[in-house]
Amino acid sequence: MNYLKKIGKRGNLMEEFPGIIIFVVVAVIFVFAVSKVYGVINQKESDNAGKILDDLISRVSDLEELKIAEFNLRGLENWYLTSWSKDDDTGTKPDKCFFGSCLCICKFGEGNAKNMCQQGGFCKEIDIDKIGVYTLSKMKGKSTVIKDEEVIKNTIEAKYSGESHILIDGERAGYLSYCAGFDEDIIYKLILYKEKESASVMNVQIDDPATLKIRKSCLR
Amino acid sequence: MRYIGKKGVQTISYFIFVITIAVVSLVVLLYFVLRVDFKEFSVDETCQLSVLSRAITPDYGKKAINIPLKCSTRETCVTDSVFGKCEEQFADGEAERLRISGEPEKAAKIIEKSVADSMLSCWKMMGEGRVDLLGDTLPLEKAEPVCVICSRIAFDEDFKSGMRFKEIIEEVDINDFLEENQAPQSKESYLSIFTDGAVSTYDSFENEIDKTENAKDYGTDDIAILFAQINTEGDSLGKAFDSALIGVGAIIAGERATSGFGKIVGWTTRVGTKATVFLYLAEIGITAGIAGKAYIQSEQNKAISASYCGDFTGSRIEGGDSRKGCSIITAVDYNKVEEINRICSGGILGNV
Repeated sequence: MNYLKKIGKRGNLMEEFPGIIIFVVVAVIFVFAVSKVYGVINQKESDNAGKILDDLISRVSDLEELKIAEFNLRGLENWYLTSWSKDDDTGTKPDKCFFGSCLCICKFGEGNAKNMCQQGGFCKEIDIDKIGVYTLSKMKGKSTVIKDEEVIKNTIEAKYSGESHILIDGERAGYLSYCAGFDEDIIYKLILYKEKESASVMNVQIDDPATLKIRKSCLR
Repeated sequence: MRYIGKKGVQTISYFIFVITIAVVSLVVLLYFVLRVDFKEFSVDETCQLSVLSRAITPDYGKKAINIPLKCSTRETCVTDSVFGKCEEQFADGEAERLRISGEPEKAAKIIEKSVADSMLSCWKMMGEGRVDLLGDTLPLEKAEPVCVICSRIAFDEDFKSGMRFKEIIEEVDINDFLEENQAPQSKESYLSIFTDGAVSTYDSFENEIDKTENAKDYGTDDIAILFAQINTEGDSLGKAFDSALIGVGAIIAGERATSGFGKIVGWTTRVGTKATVFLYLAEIGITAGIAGKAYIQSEQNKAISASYCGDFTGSRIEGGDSRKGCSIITAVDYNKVEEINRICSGGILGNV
């Protein structure tokens, strides 16, 4: 109240006015600076997705033929890697892949992979005729009977077409699915293999059949 | 108009004058602020900024805003050639090149300094372990550690397969370097900084980058500097906690060191929850064995790492107590993916 009274007196407003102006100027600059700093630290998750895709594409492109390579990749929770080959005729290829083969990183969401990748994903063309991204889920206890190298080579030779169970001596020992999903922000070990006009990327994981968690789907 | 007398005219002129000055100042200041390219912040500055932002944001704000940790992994390629790029480890070709030359002793020092500086820089960026990165409190038995991979130091394939590599790597002793060398811009040793002055020697144990028994492959070609943090509802663990840390070989050996560590471990936790802490830290110990030997209880498990356990600065739980936790910085073999993921079961924070 005293303050109001003070302002009410002629002349005192003149004393207060420069202070108000300085406050407004400082506030504007402060808000501006804070928003700029926030912009720097709040870059989008998609930047990380783009980096993962670039890294993968350069590794596949640089890979020597008939050689199996392994590398560690930082995953991005709720995203997955997938691909479409040049001659894909399933009608599931996102428009952004155009006519070539492409590798994509897409965010898990509603609908099928085409929608997820078209709307919330990144795809880049890769100069190879056939490309596949897979996850090999080995059943705990049977992980050693499945040879990763053999499986990845067979993905190129089309022994495994589509999503397939892997049978050893007639018993189910693993499962091969058509994408590599990142359930958590951890490191994933990926295996690469390339032949003349084909390449495969495979994530290997071991699942406990008793406590097998239902993985997010990246269905075609 | 009847209000604008002689004094009124003076008042309006005064207001116009002040507003003009204010507008000019604002324009000038904005000009300078706009000239600052915030995108040009260095990787370290951006990381530090995000660590601080997370630390100072109150818990309710953390949930609403979810400030990401903008820390990128710094990549260094150790090579003896002009063109070495460590393409196997870093496909983007953006790794900083650390060229090794000269006598093995001199070359080894370069590697030691690179690892030590990376650890120090990470430790400082993460607020010396005293800043709460999680902003969430779980009972110890449910708490999951989170990690930041601050940097990776890889060896170029050509360098690694050459004859000189063996000679050089045999000379590398990072613990020794941390103990005996002054940290940049400081009068203290690296070790002393990591332990807040409580520890000055590692005692007589060795931890070399690699001395595998069969020495066939000479161990890892990719070292990661890993910062891990676990926070929990504070309570007590007492001496058992000290022992757990020492068991890991975080820093010190022997009885003398136990008292030294006591100064660092400023808090303790419930007896019933000991196992979780012990297990977690023991795992770090195993992974930290970048020597390639999974020592668990041996004294030689005293790996190159440092830790802080205690109150987190500026982070409070309900009731006004400081949030408590443990932070560890260590060097791990980046190829041991399963172990790293087990340590970092709460996830790896920061940029890809």
